[in-house]
Amino acid sequence: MRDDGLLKTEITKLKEEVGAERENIETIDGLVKKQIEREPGLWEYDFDGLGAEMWKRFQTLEKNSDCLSEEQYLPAQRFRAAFLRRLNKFYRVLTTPVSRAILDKKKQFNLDQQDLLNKENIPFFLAMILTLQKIKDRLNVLEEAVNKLGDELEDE
Amino acid sequence: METSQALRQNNTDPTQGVDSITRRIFEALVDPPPQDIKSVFQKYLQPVIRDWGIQSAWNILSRLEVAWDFRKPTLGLYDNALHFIGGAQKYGCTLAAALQDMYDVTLIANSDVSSEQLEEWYNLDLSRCRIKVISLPFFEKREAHHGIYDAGLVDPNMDNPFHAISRESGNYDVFVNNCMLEMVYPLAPVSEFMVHFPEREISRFFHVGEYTHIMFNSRYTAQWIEKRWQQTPDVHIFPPVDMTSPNLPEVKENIILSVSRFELSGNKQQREMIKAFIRLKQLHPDLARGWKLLLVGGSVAHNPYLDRIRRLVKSYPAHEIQIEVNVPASDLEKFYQRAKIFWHFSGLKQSDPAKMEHFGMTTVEAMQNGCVPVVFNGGGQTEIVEDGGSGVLFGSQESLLENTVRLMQDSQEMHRLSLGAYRRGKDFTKEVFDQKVREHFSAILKSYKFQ
Repeated sequence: MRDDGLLKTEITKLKEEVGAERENIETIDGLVKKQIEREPGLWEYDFDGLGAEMWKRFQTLEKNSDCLSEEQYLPAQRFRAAFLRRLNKFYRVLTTPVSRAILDKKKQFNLDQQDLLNKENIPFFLAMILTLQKIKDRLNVLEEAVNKLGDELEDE
Repeated sequence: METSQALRQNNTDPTQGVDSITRRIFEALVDPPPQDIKSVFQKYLQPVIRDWGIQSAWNILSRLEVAWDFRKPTLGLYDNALHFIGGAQKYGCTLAAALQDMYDVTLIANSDVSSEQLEEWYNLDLSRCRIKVISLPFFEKREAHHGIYDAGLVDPNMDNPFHAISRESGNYDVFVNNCMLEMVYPLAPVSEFMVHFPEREISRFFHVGEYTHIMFNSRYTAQWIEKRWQQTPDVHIFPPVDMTSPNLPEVKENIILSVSRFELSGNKQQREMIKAFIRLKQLHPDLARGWKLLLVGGSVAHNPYLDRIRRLVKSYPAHEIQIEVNVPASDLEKFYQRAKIFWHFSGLKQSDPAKMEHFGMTTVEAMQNGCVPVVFNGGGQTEIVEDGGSGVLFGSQESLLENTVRLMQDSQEMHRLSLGAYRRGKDFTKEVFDQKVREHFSAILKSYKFQ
């Protein structure tokens, strides 16, 4: 036979313990042992928030775009460069096994740079699109208000 | 060992995992030697606390108490606008009244309101329900909130101010979120999210997917829940409408009635109704002679839209176009009983789905009194009115006028549709609502108790 009295006492005691522990946990994340809320998405910002995000992204883009820009050469430098390129090529063939390891690192560096730019580029354009969308919404509201005013005048 | 395995297996869905662990404890303690009780709890609860948090352990103990009949199950129903009169609040209070014998019901509000007030507003018995007020500091601090706990004021960069309610939800066996406040994270073992219409967009505080069930008031609403929130609602209960006349009123007057709030935005389109009625009079002066347009509705004290409406009709005598504002329910009932036709324009020439009628309570009230509804063919209205059987659906002003004229001319058709409307109106009564609510919540309780 199940001893209801004993079970009830045991559950009451446990609930008191668990309840006290529960009270001491301040966040919902702590209560359920997981992160329940993500970072805010761009689409949740208002006009000012979107503007701030765009400038933030733009600053990073401007700063990072320089490291990918090409160097400009003078004609004399170009002649020397052709010779140096050939020499370089010959040297590269000789040192391929060694340089491969180094070039892999360089390649990875370039990919990382590209990735960084993409990470900034995409939100930048998304923020711009969302801003345009919000401008469109505002225009729709204004248009509706103008129509209403027109109706009102017609009623008068 | 066995418990840890079970936890790992169910780690992707803690709800199912907690459910299975609770069942194991329940079965393990059916006939235990007394010294084993403690060890059984320890064996199962420790890994639960470690992997899923203390709330899951609390929920397991709560469920076992109910499963072994140590206490009555509890239900918390939250509504951030409980202190205001409204259709959604009527829905929640009627639901609470229907369940107060099955559950210990607590109505959770954000501002002071008494059960006497709620009983008077909605003509309900809430004597076995408690009210708990939880204030939200974020809104209290804002001077301009006017008692409205508007989720739209929440900045995405701040902490979720509704977590005071999330935490409270964990104190009940069943939690019902009646105000579509998607920012409340449900902690109760069983949770219900009631949607009257999914007006808000998904934000970082969107927790609707965490609820056990999503309830909805009409298929129109359900369709938009799927479109806008990518969630699948599963419990459909039409709102309760209680204006049924004991018999179909036999003597009716030549009145076209409209019952809608005079909204500041003019969404209910009373202005368009007046224009349509004037046009009807111009096109069919003989037929429309003796017919009156009666516009009834609630309004706030200073309403520029209502002022416009009044100015528009000032050149027409009251026996042709009459406006009645904030009338008591008894008068409203009389208007329904006297009117032959009921007009409802919400949704006409609208592209915003929120501006459609999500259900259409006044249409049902009219039908329950034998008024023939001539309503816009969109939103929740199409689920109430069977076109040609219990009323008429129109898609344009031309079709509205055409159908209204047809009804004015053909008294037999008017009587047939009036009878159809009266019959159909009975599908939406409080009794039907109570029965559906009890069916759903007793099924929840049965499963909660492992029966």
